[in-house]
Amino acid sequence: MENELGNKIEEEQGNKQNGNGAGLHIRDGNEHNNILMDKGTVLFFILYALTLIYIFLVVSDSWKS
Amino acid sequence: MKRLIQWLAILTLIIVLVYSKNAHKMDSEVVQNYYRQMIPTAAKYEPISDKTAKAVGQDGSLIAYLGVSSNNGYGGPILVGTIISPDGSVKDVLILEHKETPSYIDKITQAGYFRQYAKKQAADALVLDYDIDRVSGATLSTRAIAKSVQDVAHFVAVRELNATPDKARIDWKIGARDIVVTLLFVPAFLMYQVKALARFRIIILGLSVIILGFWLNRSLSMASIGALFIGYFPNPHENLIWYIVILGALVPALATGKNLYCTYVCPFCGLQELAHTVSRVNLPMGKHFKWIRMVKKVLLFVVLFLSFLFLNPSLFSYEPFGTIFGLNGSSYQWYLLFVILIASFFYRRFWCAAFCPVGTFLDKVAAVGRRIREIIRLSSPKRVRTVVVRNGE
Repeated sequence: MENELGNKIEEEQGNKQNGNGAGLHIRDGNEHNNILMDKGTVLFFILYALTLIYIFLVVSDSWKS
Repeated sequence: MKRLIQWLAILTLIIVLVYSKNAHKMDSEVVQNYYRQMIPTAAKYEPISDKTAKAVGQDGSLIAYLGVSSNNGYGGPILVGTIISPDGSVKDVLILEHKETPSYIDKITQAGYFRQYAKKQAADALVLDYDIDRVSGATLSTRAIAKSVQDVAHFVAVRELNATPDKARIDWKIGARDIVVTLLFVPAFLMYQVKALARFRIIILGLSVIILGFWLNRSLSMASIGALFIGYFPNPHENLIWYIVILGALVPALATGKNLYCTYVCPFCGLQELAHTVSRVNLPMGKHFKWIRMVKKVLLFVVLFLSFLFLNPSLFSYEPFGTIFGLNGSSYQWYLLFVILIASFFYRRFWCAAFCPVGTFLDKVAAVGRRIREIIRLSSPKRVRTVVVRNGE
């Protein structure tokens, strides 16, 4: 989405995840965020790949029939 | 470089569309093949016009009149073959080619739509909702088939049977559905103009889920956008909502330079936002956003390219809008929908952000709108501040 609302929300989420305001526990905060980011990334890739596979199957199914 | 790729993509799409338009023209040999499919036992087919003929048997006797005609359904033209008996009754109606979602055609057949033609004469009105019953949930397809049957039947009635076809007078009707859909686009524009109203966005999206989604199942899809470019325009008397939705999405994007349809109107966006609101989990995908957007543009190009190549806008339209709102789809479409809704719980507007070709197309239209505004702004005469200098001051 390239609309105003979408970009704004993405930006805000990005800032939160990058550990802005981690204060004295910068190292711990970053490690914690990295773990969270990794889990989020893995989940995202699984869902992204599944969607892409199903799009391919939907189109090929429609093509066959 | 980026701009060059964009122009190359547009040029490729134009070339493939022009090529396909010329390659898919129906010549007399193709029509003869359709006749052979319709009445294989005929010895020859004596032409009445370029798309109607008399099927003649080995002994020279007339077997039937037959003809082909095409009208636009939901996904594009439906080519229908109609056979008329020598006594003037409609003998058979066959779908020879179509670009509809296959499940809609199955629905029409299973509902016994074709059986009602067995009692009809070629000179009957043969108009949907007049003397032909529609199949609920496949109105556009059944209307296109009815019109194609009527084209052939009335031609044969006048030319060969010396009969005057009945006329069904159907007035231009702007119904409640057309008005409700139009009203759905008005708040979008108001919310864009008056930012204080933007807090009601989720309510309008909710209404859109109910009205444009589950009630009418007429959200904007690549099938409509493809049909627009290929030139498959439905009859506005019969399908005014098609024009309202297309114009309601394109005109504000061009006029304001913003994709208002996706933000304020799209029922599938609304459904995802509702799922996301319920979950209260919000994972970011900002890190991957750059390549996600690139893949989305490639998907849009591929969908348009294949639609233009085969002149079939619905075949490659992979959106799950019809599955959820029409509650009609293949098993893969249901699996796809399930994955998207699960993903929407974790990621805001997962489908829109990563896969939606309609959103990508409207973003491009909005970009064109912004460019036009910029050109207008630059070409308008600049205001020059005049300074009056008085003598002695």
